[in-house]
Amino acid sequence: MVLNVRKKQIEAVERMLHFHAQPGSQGRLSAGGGLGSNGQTTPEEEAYKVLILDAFTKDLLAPLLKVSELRRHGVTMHLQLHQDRQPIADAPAIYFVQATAENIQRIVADGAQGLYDVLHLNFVHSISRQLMEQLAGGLVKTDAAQRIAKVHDMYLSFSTLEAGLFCLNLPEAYRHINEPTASEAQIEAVISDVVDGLFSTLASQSIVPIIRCPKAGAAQHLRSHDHILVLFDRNFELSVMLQHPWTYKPLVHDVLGLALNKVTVEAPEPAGAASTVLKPPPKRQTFEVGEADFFWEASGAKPFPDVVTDLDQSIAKYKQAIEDLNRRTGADVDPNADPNELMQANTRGLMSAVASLPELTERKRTIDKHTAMLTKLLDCIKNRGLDKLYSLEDSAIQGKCDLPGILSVIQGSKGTSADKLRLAIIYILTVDQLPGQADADRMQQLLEAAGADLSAWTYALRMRRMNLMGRSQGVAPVASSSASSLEGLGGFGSVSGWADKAFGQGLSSITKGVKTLLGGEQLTAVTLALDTIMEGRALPENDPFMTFDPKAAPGRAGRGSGPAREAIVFMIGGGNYIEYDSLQAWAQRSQPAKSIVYGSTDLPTGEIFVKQLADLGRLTPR
Amino acid sequence: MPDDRSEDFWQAAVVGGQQTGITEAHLRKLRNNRVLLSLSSVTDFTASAQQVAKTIQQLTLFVATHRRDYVQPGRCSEGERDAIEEQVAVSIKACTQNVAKLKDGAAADVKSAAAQPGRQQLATHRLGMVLLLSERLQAIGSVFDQCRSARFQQKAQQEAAAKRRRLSPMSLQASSPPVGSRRQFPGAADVQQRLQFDESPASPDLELAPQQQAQLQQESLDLQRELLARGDAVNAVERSVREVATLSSLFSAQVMQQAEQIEQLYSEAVQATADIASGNVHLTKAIRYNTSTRKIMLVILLLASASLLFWDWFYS
Repeated sequence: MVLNVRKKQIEAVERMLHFHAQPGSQGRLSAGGGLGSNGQTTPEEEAYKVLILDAFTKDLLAPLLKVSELRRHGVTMHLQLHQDRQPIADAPAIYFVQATAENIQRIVADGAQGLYDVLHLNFVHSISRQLMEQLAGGLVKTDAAQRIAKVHDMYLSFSTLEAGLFCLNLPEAYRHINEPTASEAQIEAVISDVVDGLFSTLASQSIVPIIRCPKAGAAQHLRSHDHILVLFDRNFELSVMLQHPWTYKPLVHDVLGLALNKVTVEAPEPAGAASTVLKPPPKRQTFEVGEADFFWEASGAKPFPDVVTDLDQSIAKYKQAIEDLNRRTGADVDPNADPNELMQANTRGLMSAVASLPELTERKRTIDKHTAMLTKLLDCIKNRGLDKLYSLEDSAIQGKCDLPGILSVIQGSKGTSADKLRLAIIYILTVDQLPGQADADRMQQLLEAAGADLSAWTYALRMRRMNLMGRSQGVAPVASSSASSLEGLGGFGSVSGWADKAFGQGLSSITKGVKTLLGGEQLTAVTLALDTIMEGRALPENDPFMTFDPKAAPGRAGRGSGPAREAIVFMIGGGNYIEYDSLQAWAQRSQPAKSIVYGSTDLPTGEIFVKQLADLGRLTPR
Repeated sequence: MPDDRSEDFWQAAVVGGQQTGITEAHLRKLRNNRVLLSLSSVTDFTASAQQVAKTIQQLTLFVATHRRDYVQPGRCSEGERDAIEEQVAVSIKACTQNVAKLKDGAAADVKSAAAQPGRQQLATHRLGMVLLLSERLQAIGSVFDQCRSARFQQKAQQEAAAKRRRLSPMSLQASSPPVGSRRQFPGAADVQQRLQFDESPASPDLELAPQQQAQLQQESLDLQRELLARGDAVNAVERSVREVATLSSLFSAQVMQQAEQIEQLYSEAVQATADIASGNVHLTKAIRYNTSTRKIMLVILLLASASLLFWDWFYS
């Protein structure tokens, strides 16, 4: 069974849009009608509905279903919950919202106003007992309880971007978890959000995996199956988040800001435009990318120069197809041909041409879109010198550090200050021997001269130094996520129990030094760790990963057994397209092919992540 | 795996009702009446839209069940196929007309909603329904168009095969000398071929009897006349076929045009709804600024008059 998170989520949402009806015998969906009524309302009577969303579900549905597809399922329009809505008397309304107190109040208000005929409530995760009583009480008071047809807990609080990539849309999770000043309640809240999201993901796939994680995380004991859920903390490998990418998908994500499968690009200035006083503002275009985009799927994992050649080839193929089309529709007529034959050939050609025309226009649109994106990427790469940054970081991660090169780039004029900061932090995190105080100071001065915010730098330096000071003295595995203060490191304050153990292992354990394969493909630390886990091999050092096998007796963490075929990898604190691509490439290469789903709390770009590090640096007392 | 919590909701509603003095029986009665109320409160527009949707669904089922018979050769006679085509064409035409009527109704709603802002979303909802219907109609229209084109292609192929079959026995007989009865050949090429073949074996015997020559000439004139007649008939058939093809493409083009118009109207309506929402936001902001400005002006005036009075008193 190949794990396809996106398909399962789409199926669940479509079922919801058809009122959770059981599919009929002839494939017609007979809707379940009102609460408790046995009347078979025919599909036509429930055919036109209004969909009410809130901000979270809007982001959830955006990469999943387009408006035209919603319309195919009978949704005439979708509105926001907290918007002023007008009555539409004879339409059923489907609510797909989070179960918060605010939303419940609004639903009660809607019911009291009698905006819609019948309400079907679907909560993204699940509604608590208390909120349910609040909802029911409010509705009964306003004489509207009978308008509620059904209430469902959807368990869908995650957003899928591709078949094997999901994201929980919890921004700044890394900062919240690693904040030294975070209260226990705050961390508990973040963890419970993560648990909800993970549970939803697993529930939607109807699987119950063996769980392996570097420490006792939010594991739940469920039924057993042949899957593995591996939980990682972001501190396992920080450098991949800051790295400048060189393959297409991660480049678009990092440089152009890919979010929810949408990219916004400013149209480049037309060449030769005179600089008038009133220049028209640059046109912003929003593009959508995803699995339906043939070029995105084919070239997503290739490095930048290869992508450009691919695009050229696509353009040539398209031109060829257009010429074929023109020939077939008889634009050039052979005068010697038999007129009857010509007529027949003409009609045949016309029909096939008309049939293939929409497909060709679609292809042209895709090619135009990617041309615009690649042009913009090229501009950015030239302006910021991203190729140099990439090669320096690549060599640093491989262990061949080029310190003079790095220093010259930091002093140079190309690249924003954030870029230089990222380069410096990657150097600090991956260099074998931590530089002495003088070198570190010099680098700090250069960074300051370049205008970078130093809090992130100092934070990274401190974390690295901490690791080298050795922190293996008796840190007991923490079962909960409460912040614990470490006596052995006076002055650092309280750090959440996650960061220290995982971070220490991340740098000095099995995955030190990321390997780069031929062709520039990079194996991230996560991929190497996953390789070890899924092969069921014994790890060289003491197993830093705890295993929770639902089949084993509860309460005991045993060892993993045998190679597994499917895995869900979850990264707490933020994920990245580089990791995702690396995992997918490894999965397809391995014999037999494995199926991996990758998810994280959110997908920040390198710059956003640097900001989070900077915030943490500011909050950490000296 | 969504969880159905409707029972929990009902329990909570009963508990809530008990707290406010509403009995469970009363709640149950309300719930049972709800379905009846829903059915009776359906507006005319929605009712007719549902009717059209039902018709389109029946049409889809009809095409689906008869598609195999229609497309595959040899399962249906031509007459049956024509009957199916006619039925489908009538149905599509009727649905198009109904959808056009609904569209007019929805467009009128949009115009009246400009005057009464409270009905904007309702108008958008109705336009959405019409758009949905036209999309479904377009889908079934294009499916049927494909069936028709398949049928015509088959016809064309059959014609070509028949032509070739008639050609090959003629080329076999062309080498045989009898000048007598050869009646059934179509194209001019065959006649030429025949005459050529005829001439070559005839060339060694140059003195043909004059009656035979006259006979040959007569027959060739007959053949020519027949050929011309057939050519005319073929042209006529071709013309009518092309007409039918253009008609069918016209159908789908019409529906598509309608769908485009409706889609445009719908997107404008959605845009209008969004604009109204943002307009509301702007208005509330403006009101807030106005009130705050007024308050500030008031305070300044009071202060100014107070200071005037103060200075006046001070210096008097």
